[in-house]
Amino acid sequence: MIFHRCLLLVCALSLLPTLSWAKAPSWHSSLSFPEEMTITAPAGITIDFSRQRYYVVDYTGNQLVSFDEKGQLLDRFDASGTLNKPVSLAFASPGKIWIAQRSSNELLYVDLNDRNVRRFDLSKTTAQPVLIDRVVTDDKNRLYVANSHDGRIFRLDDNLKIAAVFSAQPDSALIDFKIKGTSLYALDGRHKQLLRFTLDGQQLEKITLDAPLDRAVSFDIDSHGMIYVLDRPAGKIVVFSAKGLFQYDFCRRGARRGQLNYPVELHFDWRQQLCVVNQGNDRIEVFKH
Amino acid sequence: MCSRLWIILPVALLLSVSWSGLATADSRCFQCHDAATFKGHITHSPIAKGQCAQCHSPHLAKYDGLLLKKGSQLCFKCHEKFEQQVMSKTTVHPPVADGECTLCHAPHASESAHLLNRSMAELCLSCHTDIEEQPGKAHAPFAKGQCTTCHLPHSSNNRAMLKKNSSALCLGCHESSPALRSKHLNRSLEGVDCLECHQPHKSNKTSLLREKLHQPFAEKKCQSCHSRKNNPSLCLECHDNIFASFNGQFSHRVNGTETNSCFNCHNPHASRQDGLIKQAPGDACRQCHEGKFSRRANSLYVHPHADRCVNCHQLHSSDLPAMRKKDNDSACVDCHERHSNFSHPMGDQALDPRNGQPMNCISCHDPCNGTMFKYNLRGTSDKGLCILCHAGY
Repeated sequence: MIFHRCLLLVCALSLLPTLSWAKAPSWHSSLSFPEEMTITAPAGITIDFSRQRYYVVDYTGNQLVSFDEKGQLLDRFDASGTLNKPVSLAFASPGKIWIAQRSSNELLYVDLNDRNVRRFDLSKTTAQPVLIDRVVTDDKNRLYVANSHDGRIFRLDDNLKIAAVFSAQPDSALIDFKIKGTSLYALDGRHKQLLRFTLDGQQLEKITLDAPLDRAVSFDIDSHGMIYVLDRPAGKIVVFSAKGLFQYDFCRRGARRGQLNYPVELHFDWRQQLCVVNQGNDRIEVFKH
Repeated sequence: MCSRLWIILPVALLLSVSWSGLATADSRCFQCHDAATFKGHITHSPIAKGQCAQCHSPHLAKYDGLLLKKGSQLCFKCHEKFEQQVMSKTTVHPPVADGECTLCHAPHASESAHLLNRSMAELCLSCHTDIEEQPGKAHAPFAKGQCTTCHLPHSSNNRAMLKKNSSALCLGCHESSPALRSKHLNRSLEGVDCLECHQPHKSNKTSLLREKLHQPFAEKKCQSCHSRKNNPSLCLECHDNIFASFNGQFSHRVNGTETNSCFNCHNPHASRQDGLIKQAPGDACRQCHEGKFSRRANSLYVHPHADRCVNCHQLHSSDLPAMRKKDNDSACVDCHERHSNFSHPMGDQALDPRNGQPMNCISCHDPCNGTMFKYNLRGTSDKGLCILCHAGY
């Protein structure tokens, strides 16, 4: 009897690694670009789902560089030499883009057809100090801006005045955000939690990320609701269930292909592949499983 | 006959050892060791009872002084509960963590309470020399050498091994009287961190204020700030040039969606540090960058003064990764000038095959996090490091 019980226990234990392996897909680097030094310091990436293109913001190169699905260079854009240390890009209405420019802490509105560039100082339009970090637009082409000077996110109206505020606890810092349908998800890096808001700034849900994270800097959510969090110093991607329970992590810090060195942004592309702005290695790493 | 001998011999040996162990107690040891030198105002109880063998082996031992165990392992044999109590706290006094009980305590006898080697003040200040060197008037407990009025000597869950955090400690003696509150804009003092503005040991300023004072505070113009809304605009109105100092690619993020984010790092009243930084260099950074400090603590080889973050990093922003002040090579060459003459080829002529970037000092060294290898190398110096790039080596 005891022998049978022991046998059952041994069988169950031997199955455990198999079960956990089955849970954790094997992610690997499927694409790493650019192959040549076409970008010098990637600061961010914006993905055009409809045209299936990657747009990389090159901070030191003062340019926006587009790549196709194979990571081949398509085009470069420097707004006739007016770009100076861009950090983020968002598509506005067709043929127009928003660029956050760090050197002057301005928001640029660029008409790609006539190459006209209009500059805006958000500290003036919002009547408070705003250090523009990331810019994102929603389906209605409304503009959202992360203010890294107070850890809040603003939705701006057509006059670039604050229309909605997204904030968390008084000592929080909303370090990254993504718009999914009618919700805005924001990552509170300090408290290691993901917050879900309406697009008017009303907080709906708080998801505590149940795993040790050194410095969470970016995230995205897949079609099944799984949360992928980028841990910058660890060079890891940590995966959580929709309720914030730790599932598994992958990748490690390093300089080789498929390794991350101080990564800064994480996005799913149109193929549900994970794109990481691998800042320390000056390239974009795309993972699939 | 022979097999009997094999049984008798070990038994006889065991008996002789036990006997000699017992015999060492008091009578035998003190035939050679002067008993008077083992007695004092306070005597460790095994000595008082003549139980030398509780700590010492009379014949041979692995450790100096014929001790049965090394360092605190010996002490914790009896002080077992104390070990659990001490080691469960977040901050453990380094001598305790290193098992060096005898750095502070005399193992046999002492003239000081708790078997301390010297008086408490002398003992603490023998390591914490910087405190005594501070000029000015001393806080009463410090002047009397009563360090344990505020600090726990072994371990604590509070910073600086304090007995309690924030004002809870100070208000234990300095009652929250109307007079005291009136000096603080009549605000409640509960939860206030008194140490942000006041020196706990010595100061040249009145009320033991810290050395560096914010100008409006020094001029007692409290209302120039306190009559207005507390957000970054409050600070930027005077320090308007500071905002642009954040305009680098790597810009220091701040916490505080509804508070003044400047106060993440700066104290608006007083500080011991330049720029009114809240805590000592490194300590202020640690509040948010704990991961970095933990990695460093777990590394075998760490760059000297690695905790002085400001030596290499900008505080507001930089165009260089990790908000460095200088690029990798020039930052290192400032101190390691000679090394630049004989090192591995670097720069645009030697690209790292792993990521295509020009080789630099941190391609091979990790001075900030520290590593398990000499010279903060990222691999062993025989070939573990080289094969990271030269796979066929």
